[in-house]
Amino acid sequence: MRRKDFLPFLGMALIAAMPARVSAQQITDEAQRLYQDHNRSVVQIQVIDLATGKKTSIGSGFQFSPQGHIATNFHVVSEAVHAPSRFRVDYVRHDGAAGEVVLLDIDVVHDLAILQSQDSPQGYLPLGESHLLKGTRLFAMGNPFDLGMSIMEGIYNGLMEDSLYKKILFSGSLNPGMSGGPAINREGQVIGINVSTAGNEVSFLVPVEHLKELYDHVLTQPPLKRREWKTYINQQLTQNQEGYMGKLLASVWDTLKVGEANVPGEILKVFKCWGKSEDKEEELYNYAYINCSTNDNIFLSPGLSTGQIFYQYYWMTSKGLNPIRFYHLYEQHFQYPHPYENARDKEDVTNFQCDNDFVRVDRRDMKVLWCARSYKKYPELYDINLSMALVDQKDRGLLVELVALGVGRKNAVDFARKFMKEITWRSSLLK
Amino acid sequence: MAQLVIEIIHPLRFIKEYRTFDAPVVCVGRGYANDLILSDPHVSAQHLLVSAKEDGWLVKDISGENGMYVRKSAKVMDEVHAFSGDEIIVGRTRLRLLSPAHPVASTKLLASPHGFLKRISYPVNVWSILILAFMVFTFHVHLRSSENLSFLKLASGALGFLFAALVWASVWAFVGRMIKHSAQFVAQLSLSVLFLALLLPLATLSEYIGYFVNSMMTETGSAVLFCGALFTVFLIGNLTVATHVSLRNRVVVCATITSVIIAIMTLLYYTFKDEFNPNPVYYATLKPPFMKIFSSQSVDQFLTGTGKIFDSAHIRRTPKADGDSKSQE
Repeated sequence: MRRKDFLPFLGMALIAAMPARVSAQQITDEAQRLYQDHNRSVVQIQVIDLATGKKTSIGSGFQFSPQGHIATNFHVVSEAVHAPSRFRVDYVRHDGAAGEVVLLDIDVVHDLAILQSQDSPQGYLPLGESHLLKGTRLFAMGNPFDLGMSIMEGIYNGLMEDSLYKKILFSGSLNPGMSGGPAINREGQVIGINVSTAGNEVSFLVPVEHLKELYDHVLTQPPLKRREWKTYINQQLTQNQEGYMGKLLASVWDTLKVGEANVPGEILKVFKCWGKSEDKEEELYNYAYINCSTNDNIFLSPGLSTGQIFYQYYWMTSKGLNPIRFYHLYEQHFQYPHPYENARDKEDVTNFQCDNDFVRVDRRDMKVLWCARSYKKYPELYDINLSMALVDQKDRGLLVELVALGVGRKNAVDFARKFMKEITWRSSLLK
Repeated sequence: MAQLVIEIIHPLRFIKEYRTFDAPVVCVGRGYANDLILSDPHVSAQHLLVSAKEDGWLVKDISGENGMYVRKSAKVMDEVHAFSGDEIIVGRTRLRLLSPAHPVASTKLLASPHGFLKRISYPVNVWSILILAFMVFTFHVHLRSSENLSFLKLASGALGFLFAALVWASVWAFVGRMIKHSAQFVAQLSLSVLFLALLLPLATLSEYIGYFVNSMMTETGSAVLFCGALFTVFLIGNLTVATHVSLRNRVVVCATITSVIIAIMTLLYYTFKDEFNPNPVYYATLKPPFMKIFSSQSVDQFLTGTGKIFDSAHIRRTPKADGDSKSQE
């Protein structure tokens, strides 16, 4: 389906990946004090390619226990998780001292990893609480663009309630290379872990509670062997999608009107819908367009992310066109599938397998295309595409596209079923 | 009978030559004193004597070396009474004895366009075909345009098709000029234009067939079948107008050309088809509801019946992936 140069998404980029504008920060004396007190605890994390001995990616991290545990983002060290035989992870302290670290545990859903350094730390940061009053001053530390350890002042703006994975909204600028660094309060307690930015001082932190949970896991569970990482990630992803898909399927869905159809709207608070319609004199048809999506996605590797759900509606009415001609235009809007930017490499996913048929949806006929592809490393997860077109009206039509990334088979089918059954027609169309 | 015609069929059979003789006795052999000199090394210097009789000829073998065969009896003979049309074999050369009065087969007429192919070049038909095709082309362009085009723009779209027909007709007119010394351009043009004017509706028909049975395979299959058959028929027409090839050969040649084109296109398709596509490739044809054939399924029937997409979305693990997991151990 053509999206008609209309992109309502809030583009979020991982800060290890996307350069953002560096804006000048006013450094207060407080920042100066915090930096002096805590720069010993913050480190740079480097992923070293064993073949060249050079770093392939960098991020930040911080020590948070006297035993030398270092926290960072999963996306900073993902290459070393997926191909431990090709990469190793090093840390570099503020004074230039470096050492190798061992990967202890990961949480792909919340983008966290815990590493263990062999040397005893010169200092460590205590873990705090992420429930603060909006407007609280926070200080993010890290090494942006490999330019040297820095501290940035910003404002805590609460947890994003309308999100599958509640992140802290941090009004300050995070830049590439700061991923995995700590965001601390005045007392030097860690409130969150730098993770991503949408640019223009809109940045996100992982709440520190997820790090505490992961740390508990490290302390209570035996360490994982290298080859078990894949199964472990698979287990985390499967559990996570069971969780939110379960919620999705159990809830009562809000509907909205598009043309003469009632369709699923913001079915959970985590979905945001945007709309647009047009009725131009020179066009041969009118249209109304709505798209809805979640903003969260889970980073798995530089070419693979998952977890997003997206759906859109395109209602078209002919301005007195011959049906053959109208259907030709209608068909053109049906022919372009959602661009699957989350995985474009054959190492990660299989080809889509599709089937199609005419399906009776609330007493009207729709042509339904139903496609799925699986993840090669996590075979229980699928990306699905459900594309539907109303085909029994001469002069109007509804196109629907539903995309869910990284869901289990049963959940995918149940979701598609519920979605199709939620589509109903207004009485004017049923005459 | 005074006169004798000898048809010489050389060992390789391809070359025939005729010699006429007035003398009552004709000597045949490899020697240069003979009336008919044969260059076949298996023929003797003086091999045969052919003397005229009342109702034929008496053929005598005078060599005593390789002998003489008579075609109809396949026996070595010293002497034979031959009639007009009989074949004598000496060495590896065949000789057919003919009297000047020997009947000949009726004349094979040159294949020339008749019936439909003749009528197609009548001015009134040519103009009708051109107008009909122009209407088909403009309508085709009109149905597929995403804005309201002026008549001039529609017509210029149709001109593209007419130009293609013009090029095709010119090629065949050239072939006709070379082979038959007659270009027949008007007939070729009518044929080509008519071909394109029929091709577009047939291609559309296959889209409808595919849509109603819900299968991209059927759409492609019927399009190949229809267009292939139409192309073969019209190619036969082009050949008939442009060449003297017999009907049987025309059919064989045209069917072969069509099959080869289809085979090459299939081969190219599979050669250049992407092994991996990050986006779904689905059958998105939509047609107006005026001809609904099959009844629709319910949502549950559909989702149960299409479970196989999840099974086939798994592919066998490649050896490379296995190698990866080993190296991680």
